[in-house]
Amino acid sequence: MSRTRLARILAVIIIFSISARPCLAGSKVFVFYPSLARPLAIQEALAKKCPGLEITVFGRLTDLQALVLREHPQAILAQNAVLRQFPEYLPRLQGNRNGSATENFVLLSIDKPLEASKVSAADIGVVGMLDRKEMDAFVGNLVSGTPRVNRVTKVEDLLPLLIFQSVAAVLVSEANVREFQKKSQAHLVEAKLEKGKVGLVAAGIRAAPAGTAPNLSGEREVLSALKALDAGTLALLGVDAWK
Amino acid sequence: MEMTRMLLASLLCAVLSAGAGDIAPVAPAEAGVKAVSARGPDRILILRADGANFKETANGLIRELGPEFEIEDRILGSADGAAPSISDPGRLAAAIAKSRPKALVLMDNDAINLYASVQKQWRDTVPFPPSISLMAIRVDKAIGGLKRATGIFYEVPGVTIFVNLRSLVSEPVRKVGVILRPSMADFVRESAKWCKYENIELVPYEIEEDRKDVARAIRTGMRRLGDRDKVDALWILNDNFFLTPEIIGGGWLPALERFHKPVLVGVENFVSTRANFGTFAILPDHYGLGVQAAGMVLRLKEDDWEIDGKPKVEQPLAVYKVLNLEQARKSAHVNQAALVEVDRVIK
Repeated sequence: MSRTRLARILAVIIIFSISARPCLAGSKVFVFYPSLARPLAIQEALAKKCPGLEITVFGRLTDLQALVLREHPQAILAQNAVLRQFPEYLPRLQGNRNGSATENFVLLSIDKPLEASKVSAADIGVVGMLDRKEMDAFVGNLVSGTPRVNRVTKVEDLLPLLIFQSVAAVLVSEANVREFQKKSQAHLVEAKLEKGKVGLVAAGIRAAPAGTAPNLSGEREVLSALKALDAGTLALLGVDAWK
Repeated sequence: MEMTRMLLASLLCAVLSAGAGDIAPVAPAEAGVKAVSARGPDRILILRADGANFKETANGLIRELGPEFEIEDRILGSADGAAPSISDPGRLAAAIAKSRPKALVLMDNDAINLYASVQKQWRDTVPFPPSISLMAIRVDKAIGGLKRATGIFYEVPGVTIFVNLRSLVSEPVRKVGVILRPSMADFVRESAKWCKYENIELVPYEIEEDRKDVARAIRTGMRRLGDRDKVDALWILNDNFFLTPEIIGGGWLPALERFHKPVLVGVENFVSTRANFGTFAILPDHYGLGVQAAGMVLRLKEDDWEIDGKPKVEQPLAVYKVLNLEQARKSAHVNQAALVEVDRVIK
């Protein structure tokens, strides 16, 4: 083989390796879903099932907000209420569980349910999945009142909040109530909420900035990988199917 | 000296008692427009020790409070730009007078003691801002001498540890043994009170503070807890009195060879595979601690920066969990599905 021919082959390899780099690195997907599972455990499970994607799971909203601004991921996976805080991400896949795109949130307390008439005078514990003001409004809508909101960083922190009687009740999904009931032997009682429906996890895809072409291959890559997730991995996101 | 003190007291009195922190700069009056005073952000002074954990707690606090608050984060004994080092009561008093915070967040016993000294020196002359203390040993006792004080315990309460253990193992966790000295009895009694909600009995074994052979006393205590009381797990308190190399080597380790149940500790190193000591470590989550403190700041603001009555100390809520899986499997059946809830699994 001549030296020129060898140089050409090398050049072709280099060119292809450069153009293939975005694909090798994979589209960035950011996930924020406060649950009992640790973010790292969710990240490892998702990364295993989606080897083509670069997945980061966040445990704190502030970290997610900072990195979205800096890195503009291709997609964000989060509950609808969170996703709405990022208007440049448009929902393309909606998570479902038992055929529904929403889940019920309830007020969980110890020994006796929190009466609706007492909600506005009560301290309520919640996971801070939105900024403070947005979270206060979110809670106010769900409980139809204006309670004092006590934020925690993790779902599991809500149980000690109840046990130590720091709040009258905590606002949680029915799925988390079942988990708490498995963990705790305290007499946990729930009060249903008339307007307690909350959207499940959805996948929001980044809209192309004005004047630029949409990244269709990245979008396809993310959506097809998410659609291929098995039941066990989907359960870590609180859903059992995509619609 | 006395003159300086008097001057400082007058300065403090003037700025603090007048509520000068509420007075924001007044916008310059324009033609036909009345000057309007705008309320500026509330200032919080953090006084803390140096180190990664303290920084992480401060981060949680600052991020959770957001831009509505102006935070001055000062490290004890370190100068901050033009601001002089805070290392004695006089300098702290001057820093308070200058920054006029609505509240202080004190992290560790030294910071609490320093603020206590300031309050003692200028007692009954100036209304001091309320304080929230955290990351201190026995914060309930440490803030006993402070006025308008509240705080968060640094010690993770037993019930949090036991409930987490219960979801990790198949065996029942009904009785947990704990070895303590009398000075920790009130802390253990408080823990026992919360454990009742979870149907867990805390079985204490006390060792006198003046006991000569502590290692031997631990071996005796362990025999009693294991053989007679038949506890389902052992909780080792973060008490330096019981955690010297001599006592670990001569007391805990030989006793644990016969104790085939989970051992719960509060130090991450104790669950390392080399240590062969603890099974499950639960430590405070420092970021979460900061968020919890931020919640207290917000409630304090809602209450017009007033704290009435006796100091109320909250239990810490957020924890960081480390499991030595091999050690756990020797002492119980580990629920594999629950491992996703553990921050660090040592295999």
